Amino acid sequence: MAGSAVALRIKRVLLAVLVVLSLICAWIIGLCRQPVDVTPFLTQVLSQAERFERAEAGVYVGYAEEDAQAREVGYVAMGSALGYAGSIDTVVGMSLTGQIVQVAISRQTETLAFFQDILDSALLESVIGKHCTDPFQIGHDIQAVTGATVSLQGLTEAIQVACHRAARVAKIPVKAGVTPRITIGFPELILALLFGIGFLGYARVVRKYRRALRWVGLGLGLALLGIWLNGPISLIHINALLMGYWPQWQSHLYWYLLALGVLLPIVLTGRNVYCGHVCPMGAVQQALGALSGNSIHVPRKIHRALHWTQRVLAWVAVLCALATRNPGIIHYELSSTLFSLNGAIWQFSLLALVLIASLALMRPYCHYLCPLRALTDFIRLTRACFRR
Amino acid sequence: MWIFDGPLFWFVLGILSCLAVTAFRLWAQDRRLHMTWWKWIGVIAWMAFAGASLAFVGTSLGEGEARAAIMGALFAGVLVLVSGALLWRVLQWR
Repeated sequence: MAGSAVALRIKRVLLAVLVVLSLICAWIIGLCRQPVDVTPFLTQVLSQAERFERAEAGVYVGYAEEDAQAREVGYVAMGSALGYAGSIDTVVGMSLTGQIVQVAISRQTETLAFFQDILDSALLESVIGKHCTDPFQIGHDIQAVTGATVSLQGLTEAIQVACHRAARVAKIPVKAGVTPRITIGFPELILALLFGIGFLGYARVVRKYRRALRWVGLGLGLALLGIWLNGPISLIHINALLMGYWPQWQSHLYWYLLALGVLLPIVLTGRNVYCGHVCPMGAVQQALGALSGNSIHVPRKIHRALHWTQRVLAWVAVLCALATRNPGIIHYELSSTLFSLNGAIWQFSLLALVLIASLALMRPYCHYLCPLRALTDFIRLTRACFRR
Repeated sequence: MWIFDGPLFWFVLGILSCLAVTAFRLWAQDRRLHMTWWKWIGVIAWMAFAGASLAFVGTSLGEGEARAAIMGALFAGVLVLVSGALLWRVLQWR
């Protein structure tokens, strides 16, 4: 009996070590990737220039030949900022007087369906002619795009960073970047409330009301986090954290609260507050299950096989993300499809399957597909390795 | 298709609807379901909804709108099944 416990413990430690090693390897591969060659973008954003000279890191001066003499015609600068799923890199062409001539996106890893909304909104065309000293504020001089706010913020910031870089070389005075203000609004308060309910659900004093608290948390999570904010946690957030894409905490407090609220309780106590009391996707499945009185029991062998498939799928998704430096390269989560009604046909088909299965099975998405569940399992495994 | 354009289609549809309602009544009797007037309204509304969903998919396919048909089938299919499950729970009330 004691021997089998030791063997199990060794197996667990080996598994945890192998997973960590594989992730470190993927992370190193990702770091060694060649940066995107921006040369083709130079002529694209400043077409009147015939040759370019590097002025400083990320800024080029464009020249045109006139009567055998080189004449400055403008500047090209690179700018990067964090979007929803990693870095957005832009190349901006600027005239000698500081007007934007053309903008190109050299690299982005945003969720395609949402980023397409920004491209369809003709944002890139609308910034042409803007001056590098303009404020670039969404809702003021930049038109907002519903449902893609974070990506739009990232893209706008990347363009502004490039403009300011070019302006420095052109010696055009621009306002230095101001430290963002700490923004605490309804979303942050709601998140704190939901996690508070989640923690309360584990307290012994309220044992009698545990079930009721769970439903209150899930109901509020569904209504506020899912339907209103459309901001549940995603594997993209975790991948972005692992890659070092850490946005400014002052302006992304919600993002940090969400990530910490999910990860900290599991790391410190082994308890998963989010899945049980907050997750809007879990709430939908739980409600459908309660509605139908789901009763089908999955045989143990099939349950284990599906559970391991879920873990392997999540591991592959994180590996690929780290190796390609693209947090959303494998994105099969269904919460954004459900709450924003935006996605590919296969995502809607999978969602329909999950919702129908929820009528017969207990939380099928959480048990067999959700990558966050696999992540929490891994954290628990690692915790178990460290515990005596 | 000619059959969908003429009155024969509606005649056949009427007969099929009557058959469906009769079949349901017999099935409910077999299952000893206690049917009230408001439960009947629910059943008929659900049948109409399921029929309209099927009609939407069929019409979309007929118009060559495959994507609309697929999305319609996914959305309406889920709603029909979920409302069906809800209705089933309601029908079991005594």
